Amino acid sequence: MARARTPSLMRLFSVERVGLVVLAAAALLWPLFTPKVAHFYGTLSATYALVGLSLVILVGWTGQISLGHAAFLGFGCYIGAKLLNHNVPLLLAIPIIAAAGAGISLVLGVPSLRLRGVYLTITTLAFGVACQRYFFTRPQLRGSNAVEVPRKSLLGWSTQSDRGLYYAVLVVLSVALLLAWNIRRTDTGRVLFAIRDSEVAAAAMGIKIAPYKVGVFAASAAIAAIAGLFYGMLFRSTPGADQFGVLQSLFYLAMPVLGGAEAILGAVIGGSFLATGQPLVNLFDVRLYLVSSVALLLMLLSGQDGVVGMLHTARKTLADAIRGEPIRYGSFVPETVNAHLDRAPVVHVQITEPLPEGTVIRARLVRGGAHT
Amino acid sequence: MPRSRTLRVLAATAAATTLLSACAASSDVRQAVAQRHAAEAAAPAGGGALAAAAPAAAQPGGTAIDTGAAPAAGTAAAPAAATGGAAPVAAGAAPAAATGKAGKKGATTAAATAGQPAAAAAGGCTAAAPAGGNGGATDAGVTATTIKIGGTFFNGGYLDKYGKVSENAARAYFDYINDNGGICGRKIQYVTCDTAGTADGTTGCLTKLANQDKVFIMGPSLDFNLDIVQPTLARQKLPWVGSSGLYGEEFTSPWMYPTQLSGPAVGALIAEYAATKLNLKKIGVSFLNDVAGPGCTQRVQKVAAANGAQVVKTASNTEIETSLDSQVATLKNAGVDSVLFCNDPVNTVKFIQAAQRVGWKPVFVGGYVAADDVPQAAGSNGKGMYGFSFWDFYKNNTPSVSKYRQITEYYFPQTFHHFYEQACYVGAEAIVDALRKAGPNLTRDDFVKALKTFTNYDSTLGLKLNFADLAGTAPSGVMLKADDNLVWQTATTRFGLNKSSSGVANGTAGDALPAAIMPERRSQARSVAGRRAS
Amino acid sequence: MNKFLGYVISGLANGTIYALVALGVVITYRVSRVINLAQGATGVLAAFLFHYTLMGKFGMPVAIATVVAILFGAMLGAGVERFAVRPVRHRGALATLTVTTGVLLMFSELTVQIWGPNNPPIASVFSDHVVHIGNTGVTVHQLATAALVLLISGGLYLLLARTWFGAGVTAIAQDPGAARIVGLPVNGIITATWAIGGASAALAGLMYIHLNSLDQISLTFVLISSLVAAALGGFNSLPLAGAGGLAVGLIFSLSQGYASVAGIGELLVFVALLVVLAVRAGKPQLDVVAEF
Repeated sequence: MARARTPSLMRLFSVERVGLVVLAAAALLWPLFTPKVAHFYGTLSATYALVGLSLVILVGWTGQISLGHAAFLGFGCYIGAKLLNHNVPLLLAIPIIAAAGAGISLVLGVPSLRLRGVYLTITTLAFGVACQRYFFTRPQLRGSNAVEVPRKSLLGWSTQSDRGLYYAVLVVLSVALLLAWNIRRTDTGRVLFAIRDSEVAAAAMGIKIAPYKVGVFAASAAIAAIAGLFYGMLFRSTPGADQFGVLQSLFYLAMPVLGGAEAILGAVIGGSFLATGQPLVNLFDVRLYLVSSVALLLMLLSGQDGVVGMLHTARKTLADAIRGEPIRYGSFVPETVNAHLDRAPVVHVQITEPLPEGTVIRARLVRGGAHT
Repeated sequence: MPRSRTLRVLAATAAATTLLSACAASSDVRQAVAQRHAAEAAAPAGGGALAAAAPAAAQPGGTAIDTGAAPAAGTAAAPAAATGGAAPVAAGAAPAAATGKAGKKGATTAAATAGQPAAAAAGGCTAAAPAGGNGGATDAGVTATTIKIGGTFFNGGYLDKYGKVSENAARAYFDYINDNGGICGRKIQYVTCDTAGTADGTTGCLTKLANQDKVFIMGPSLDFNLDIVQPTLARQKLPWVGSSGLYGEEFTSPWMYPTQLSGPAVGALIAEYAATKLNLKKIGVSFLNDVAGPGCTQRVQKVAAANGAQVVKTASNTEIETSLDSQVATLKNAGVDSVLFCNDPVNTVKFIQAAQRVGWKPVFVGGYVAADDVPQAAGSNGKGMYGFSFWDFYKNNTPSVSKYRQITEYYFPQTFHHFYEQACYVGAEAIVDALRKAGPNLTRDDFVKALKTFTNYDSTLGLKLNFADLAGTAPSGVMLKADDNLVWQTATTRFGLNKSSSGVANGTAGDALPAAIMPERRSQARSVAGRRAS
Repeated sequence: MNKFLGYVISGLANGTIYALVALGVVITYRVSRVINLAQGATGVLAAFLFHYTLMGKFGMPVAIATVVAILFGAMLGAGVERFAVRPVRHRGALATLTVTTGVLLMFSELTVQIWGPNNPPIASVFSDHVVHIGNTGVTVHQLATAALVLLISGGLYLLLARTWFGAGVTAIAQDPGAARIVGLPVNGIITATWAIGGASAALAGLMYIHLNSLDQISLTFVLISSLVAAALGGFNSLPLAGAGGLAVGLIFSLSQGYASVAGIGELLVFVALLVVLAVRAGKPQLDVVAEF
């Protein structure tokens, strides 16, 4: 999208930018004013935000669905426990685990992603079950005994308290979010979206689809494995195989749905939902499964793309109310997308509904409207 | 597209309505499962000996009951009738004293007064201190009038049906104590937390109970993932009494005091019984490849060998299995004459059902099956199966079992009994007795110290627990047998291990566990605990 | 040899249930391109209704209660399609998959809320008499289930291959837009296939929970095996999906019997799926074209 690079005051204080700064400040500052139990759930939220991000780039960007992501967490957690117990520094353990996760993903990604349709979904499902029942029950990996996970420092930053660990996870999460955000804006990102929208069309444009899909799946698995490392560190111990089972994978898919599958921020919001769901339902003395099913169904049936989608809709509605744009009847695609904006663009209007007599068609050019 | 939008709104509304009604139904059912005792107390109590006790005891600040003076008439009625006329002395101690088992429990008050001069001033809680006169807020979770005790339970998921009922049993006992004046003028607040059986839930609940609710100790619980809480407990310096003992780690942790036999102990007892009493020679084991299963199985193998039998084949399963047909085929093809279960109740049932389908009926001996629903669910193939119970069978009419039944059914009339529930009840008993012993100036250290003096603690449900070394508790239990109506009947009196079995069973619960798990921290923590206790 | 026979028979007995569920999965997937994860929970809901309400409360005879429960399953299937899946179908696989996840959680939780977290002994129309084969055996109920599954797959085959309805299904599977243009009641046909899926789930629930008293979530694990079975068969062809179900049952039984290692069956099924996919990846794709 062409952006007018005019350094105006409006640009500097755009809603996104202000919002981002406020969010970042909030993420940094809230642990200073909250009790310890909040730090635990904050760390869990950040960890799940990593999982959410791994699913957003896989599901939201390429349209591939994994029903076995919890297994990658499991590998990250168990391998991470071994590494940290062998005194591997945390900073080194992170890339090793990422590589391990990516490597494992290739085993199932390469055969299944070359096929279209549901194959990745089902392969990851079978993979998840095989991990839960076979791999994770091997004594070499987890077996039936918990192993303590030491909380190593990240670059001298102590993770002994939950608050310290929260900041460590936040750093990793921020790096991952930044990387994802940048990739999304590059050609690679555009190719991924093209693949998601139509593999046939993308292939027709000469894009080799399989490497992209396999690559994104590997990146996604790597992020999930890193999340698994921190998951184990949070508990200071390795949870059993059933904590990385198929049901967990199903729950994880709720993250991009509740948060928003396309936006990166959706991962963060979805992660917070998943982490704080249990204490919230405990407040009201209802059962988790009931509430999560209600939340999922309502969100999906409302037709919104998660909370982020809702925010977008709300913003649009608000803007419409202020600027007086009552109804949008169709899409308006400027022909000269990348041309200079000082020349009047040619606009093709596609009307999707029969218009009432006397309708005035008005077009507004949204500058740099990357999202809408 | 207005039409589709209308439909969508309609669909969403329909969904919302369904969900709301489901929520309403949810609370209804919760009520049904866990009848609030408040509702019941309001109703005219039919055989309500306990109901009469409550107000009577509560009014004079709880002094009447604990002093050992003649209790209010209402209190005496229930337990006294069962014990043959002997008036109960103190709420918790009655059956032990009455049945003449002057174990640690009977001696509680004396020991407290003699051994602890500090506590003796206030009488070590033999006399209930008036509210406010007990030292006030002496430690985290303790105020002048309350003691906060935590608990975690899974609602939802695997073994769902056993969770809520177990919570109710502990709650019933605490309510019973509270209604009889509490402990040193303090009432017990039992704060429980639903974990849904996940690691997040358990650790989150524990963090919340420790940091936000600031519980004095963790109390009776039935929960998964207790193998991963040790580092958190060590960090919070939080003892956990009455956990359900599903994991070997609970028995080796310096912070946890599970009130249940460990997997290896159960394995030893069922193997010995099968080999010596049932004369079985070729044993097959069906076990859960998690929690207590592997430790139990290893001990079955050793004890069977020591008693002249042999474990021919084992077949493992995971928690959620859709069928155990292949496990049945495996054991059947190995030519075993019996199947011992180091398995949870649900999978034991599935195994017996699967055996029926291939027309196979070896001798079944269940390790974790002492619940009414097990033989019934197992169906006709379950007739004549044996089931082990380390507690006295909940249908017995011994005084203490009747009392247990009376208390739990009084506060939660819809409850059903099983061994997990009994474990939570015993955990509550042990906590109350240790609290009494620790006296009015209650601190965690004193509490743990008091608890650890219970080296031969009479749980009132048969088993004698050694809180100084729970893995070293002398294992014993009774064997049940399902009759032709698929109802458990007691088949034996309480039995322990014979010489040849205890020869191999001498080790602790830990021999099934790799010694390498957290060796450093454990010894560290243990020494810390030891130092604090001494 | 006797051992082998025992494993094969127990594997096939379970495999028929996997096959039955897989048929339901494939028939719904073919026309609507949606994996229905609520299939297992639908079966449980129908089975619990059968046990507690139809037989317990209303005292219906077993046969009638069975039919009613299957009809109830069909209604549930159609209802899920109409009120949960259709509103989100245009939003792609994530939305449809998670909506069925939501329904799965909702159904299993409803089961618990209404009837408690139990695993009731479900009655069966067929007898539990054991027919001995070699040193092993099967019950009449299991034989009847196998026969029923054969009948149903035959019936479905005829329905899809010989009738107007089947032609409609094929048309929609190939091109829903074109099917609409030629005047086919696309939505009606899709709902009907979901009803068939729901009915098969209910039948599977009744037949299977009679064999193994299951709680509210376990049948979903049967569904998982069935999904893999369907994928082994290519996710499009009914006979292949059925064969996949039997294969998964056999793999579980034989591997567990001979290797006796925890989880070995799941591992081998996963490996088998990878192999099948690797072989298929080399061939031209038959993703859209209907196969019979």
